[in-house]
Amino acid sequence: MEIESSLYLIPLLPLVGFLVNGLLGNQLPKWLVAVIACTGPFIAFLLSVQALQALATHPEGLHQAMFSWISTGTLNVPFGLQVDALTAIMLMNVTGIGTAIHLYSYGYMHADPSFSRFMAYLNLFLAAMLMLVMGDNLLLLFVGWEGVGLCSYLLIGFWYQDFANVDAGRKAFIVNRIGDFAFLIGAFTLYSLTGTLEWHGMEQAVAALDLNAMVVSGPMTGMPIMVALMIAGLCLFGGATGKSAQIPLYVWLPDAMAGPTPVSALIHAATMVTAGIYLLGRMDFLFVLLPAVMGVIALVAACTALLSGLIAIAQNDIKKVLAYSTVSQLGFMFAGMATGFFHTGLFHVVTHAFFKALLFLGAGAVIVAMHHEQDIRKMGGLWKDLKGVSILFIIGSLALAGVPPFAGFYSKDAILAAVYYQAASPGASPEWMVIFGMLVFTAGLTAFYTTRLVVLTFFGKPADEHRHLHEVHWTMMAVLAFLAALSALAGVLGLGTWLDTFTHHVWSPPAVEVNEALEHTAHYVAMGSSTAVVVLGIGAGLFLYLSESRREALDRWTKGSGARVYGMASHKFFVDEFYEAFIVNPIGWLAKLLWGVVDRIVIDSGIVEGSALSVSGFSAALRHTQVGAVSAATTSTLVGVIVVVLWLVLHG
Amino acid sequence: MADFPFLSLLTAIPAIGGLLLTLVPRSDDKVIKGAALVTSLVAFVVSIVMWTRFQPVGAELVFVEDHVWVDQLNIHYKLGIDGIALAMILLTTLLSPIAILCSWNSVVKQPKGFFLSLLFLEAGMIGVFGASDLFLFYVYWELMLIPMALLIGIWGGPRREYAAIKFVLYTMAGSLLMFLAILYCWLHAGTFDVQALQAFLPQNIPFQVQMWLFGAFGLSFAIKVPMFPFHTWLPDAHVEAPTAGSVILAGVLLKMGTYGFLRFAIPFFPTAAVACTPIILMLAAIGIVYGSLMSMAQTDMKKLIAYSSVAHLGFVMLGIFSGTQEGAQGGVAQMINHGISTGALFLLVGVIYDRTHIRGLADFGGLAKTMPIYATLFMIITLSSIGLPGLNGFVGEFLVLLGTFQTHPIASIFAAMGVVLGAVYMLTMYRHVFFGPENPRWKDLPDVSPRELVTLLPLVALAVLLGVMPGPLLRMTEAPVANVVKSLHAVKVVEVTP
Repeated sequence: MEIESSLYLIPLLPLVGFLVNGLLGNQLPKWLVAVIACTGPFIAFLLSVQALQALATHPEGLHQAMFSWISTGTLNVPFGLQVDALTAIMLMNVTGIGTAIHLYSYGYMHADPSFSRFMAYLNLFLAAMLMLVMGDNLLLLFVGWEGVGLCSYLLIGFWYQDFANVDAGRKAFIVNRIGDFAFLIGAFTLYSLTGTLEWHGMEQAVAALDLNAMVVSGPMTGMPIMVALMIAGLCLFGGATGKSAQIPLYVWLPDAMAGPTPVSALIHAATMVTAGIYLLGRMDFLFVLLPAVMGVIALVAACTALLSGLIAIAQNDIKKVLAYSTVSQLGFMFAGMATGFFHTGLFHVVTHAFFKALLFLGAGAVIVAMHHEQDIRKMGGLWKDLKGVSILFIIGSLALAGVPPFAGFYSKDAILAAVYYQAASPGASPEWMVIFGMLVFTAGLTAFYTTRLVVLTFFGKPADEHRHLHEVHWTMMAVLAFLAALSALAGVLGLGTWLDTFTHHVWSPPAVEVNEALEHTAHYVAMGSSTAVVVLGIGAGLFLYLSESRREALDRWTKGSGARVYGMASHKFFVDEFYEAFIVNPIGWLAKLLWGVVDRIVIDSGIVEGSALSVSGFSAALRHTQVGAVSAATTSTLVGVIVVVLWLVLHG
Repeated sequence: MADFPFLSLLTAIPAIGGLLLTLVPRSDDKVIKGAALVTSLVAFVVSIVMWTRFQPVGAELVFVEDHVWVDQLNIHYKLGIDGIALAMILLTTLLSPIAILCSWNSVVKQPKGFFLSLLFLEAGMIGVFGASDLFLFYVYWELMLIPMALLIGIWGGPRREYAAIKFVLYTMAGSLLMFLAILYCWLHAGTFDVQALQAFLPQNIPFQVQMWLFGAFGLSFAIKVPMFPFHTWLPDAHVEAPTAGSVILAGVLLKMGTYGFLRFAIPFFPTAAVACTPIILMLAAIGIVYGSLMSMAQTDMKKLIAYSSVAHLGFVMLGIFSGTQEGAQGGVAQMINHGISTGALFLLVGVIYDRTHIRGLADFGGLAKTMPIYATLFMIITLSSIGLPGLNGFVGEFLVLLGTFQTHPIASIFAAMGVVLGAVYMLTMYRHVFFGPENPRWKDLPDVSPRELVTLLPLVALAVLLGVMPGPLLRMTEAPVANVVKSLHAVKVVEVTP
């Protein structure tokens, strides 16, 4: 079978699973639902492997044109799928980790009365994500982009009888829509510059632009082309801040923890949040031209990483800690992309998918064992009873903390080296050195809060001596072990180097030639500083949390003299409250005000009924009579018509 | 087959069916309903056959029938359609049987008069879209008003009389102005023939007069759309109208305003249209955001959907006046898509209103558990309404915004905010009605019946189909829309005074 003509099967198979389980799932036995739900993603995974192998002989990429989707005037948006090295890596991630998560979900969710609905949503999520990475144009990407947004809305609000879950889902959708607003503006801007939305066409058209010239036609006529491109780049990045949870739109992601745990893993690790990184990688031909925009992206990314790292320290819900850590790690990925060494960001996407999926699913196992308790202060000492889960969770934590030789160490290191390289390049903006400092500090924070999480959950005295832990289903353990193996070994086995060579030809080359000597220095500086902060972070974490007395002292401090500082972090720096007070509420008030005053009083009572009254006393009729008013209106209309006709005939 | 009088047949079928209904004894409910349904289904089948025979060259009118009606005044009974009119007629013949079927059990009072009104309404609507003589158009336009006013005024809710009168007065005020403008055109061109007028008027009417005439036509159509700030009749009409009335009103009647701009106001007075473009775009963009904000402030499901129509029709106006093929095509696609999704939304509200006789957002809760099939259909239509890519609403909205951005980027950006707000009010409505703990009051509500499913499934299927494959619809309207866009670009100020 020629894989190029079968690409459509990759997103279609999970979609079929969605339709079958969505329509008939209630009538089918649970094992069959699970088989249907897992088969689609698994075959999609096998096909993705084939596609990846086929790239060896088709370095230009695979492409399957299907039909014309939206075509009118000069616009032609085809419905076509493509796989190049970048998409192939995303495919491995999405289908590979995705299949594992489906399998785990059987263990985690099979007792839920709405199990088939859950599996159907997961399938739809996967189908949408596959459209996102395989679409051959910006608009098909947007189909997947909004599709995953819809699925996260449905999955976060899965247990819909509790308004808290539903509202978290709605928040996710709406915040993402704000990002999509920016995305659309960016797409329109690019379209008016290039006249197409297809990747290849856009790349060629952008390459053909004279960057020193002015725009000569379209809505931005007279604007320097460089400025127009910057608007497009910033708007597309704005879209990415929604989907990939960066400042200012990251606020939906921690709330998304309301969903069942496999959702967290799917949203965070394998799929949705990496969409923004993918977008940057896909549009690399645009971003390499825009160093100023790249600087903005890097700065936003570093601030996001630092802010969410600080918040993560003060969270007590196991899933919230992991959620903020995800936001923080996404910041690292964006910073990596912004250096122009795109493979570093992609590398971290891949390793993060391994270890964060492991951590979320491990947290799920802990939560199941603890009978749906999520507060780490109420855990403690789980090591004794849950040896298997503990070991696997700790492997994930070591990878997240960036301890060598676990996978996270390699990818984080690559990003830090790339950022340092930028900072130390001759003529670099000093901003880059600040970014480097922030990221190194955040790497230390990461090690610290990860240590805190592990110590509080698995070590120390159990919060309740008499607890009876729930058994963890074997499918869940199998998936955890698989992910742990990847998290532990991916870096050592040279995934990073392989990724670099495999994707090398898809990236637009950097504007300046790479200085190899500086590259080596950057590598050593990054490794040295990150190892140092990681050791410090873990050391501080162990020192503070391992000993009972020091932990109590810390508790007293957070409630006493440190309450203000600690409160800022534990209340997430009041960002949600700020948005509520200055954006959400005012819009609600505006709506009510406009309705109550403008619509009902000014327009309706004032202008409409007022003018009716002044013309012929209709207003009274409006209030009191029935048919009379209609005939009055008709009569006066006819009288008016006749008068005017006469006038026209006489004077026309 | 191009000579076969499809259009006369299509207007005659519901009219004759309606007349035959008068012969059925008042007490014979079943026969009345059955006959009405069969009539509308026959009209639907005929319209489908007509579609298969529809092979125009470019934007020419097909299925033209031309007979002299009043010789002295040069009034003709002239019919003929292009792709836009065909799309609108198909929407009409699809929604009419659905409207009849959804009223099956809910109309107790004088069912004969009710179904008679629906059939006459259908005849009038097809006539409006099929007419190619301005006087004939005006006759249908006014005729259609009567059954609609009756549907609201007799079979409506508690404030039905107020709503019906407001509806009539508003429309009358607009039609009066339009009628004067029509007479003026006739006096100068000596004909009511739409094609002849399209050729004559742009060349021979001075700019100043064009402005007045465009204003008269435009105001009449703007009220019908309705454009901000002429929209306040709409929420009242929708809230009071019976379900079938709301479905037809939202599905077809509102589009007569935008259709009027495409068919008459712009081609007749292109120079004035161009001169008025900034203000129309501004009102359209304001309407999108304003309508969305209004929807956010509502607590009644029907009112919320009614205000959302103000926003959605704002997109149509924006696209039509963008002066680009993409935008105008998006506007026309949005006309059809709004007919499908908002028609379906009113049907869906009707389903729950038939069972409970209330429709406040806060009165429900947890219906997703009680009525899962209903909840699923409602979700799909909600997503279609907020323009989720892959469903129909997105195609129109995207084309409108993309097209408008090419010529008026600020209006486009402002309007795009409506995309965010749309998600807010629709998902908020869904949250209140379907999510949360089950309300014990409604825990025995039955899920959708087979009859209700039959009314809803075609619309849901179309929402998916037109989202994935909008090609056939876009091709159908491509040439006539191109003509309208061209007339907006080929303007020149006429200096002559007649």
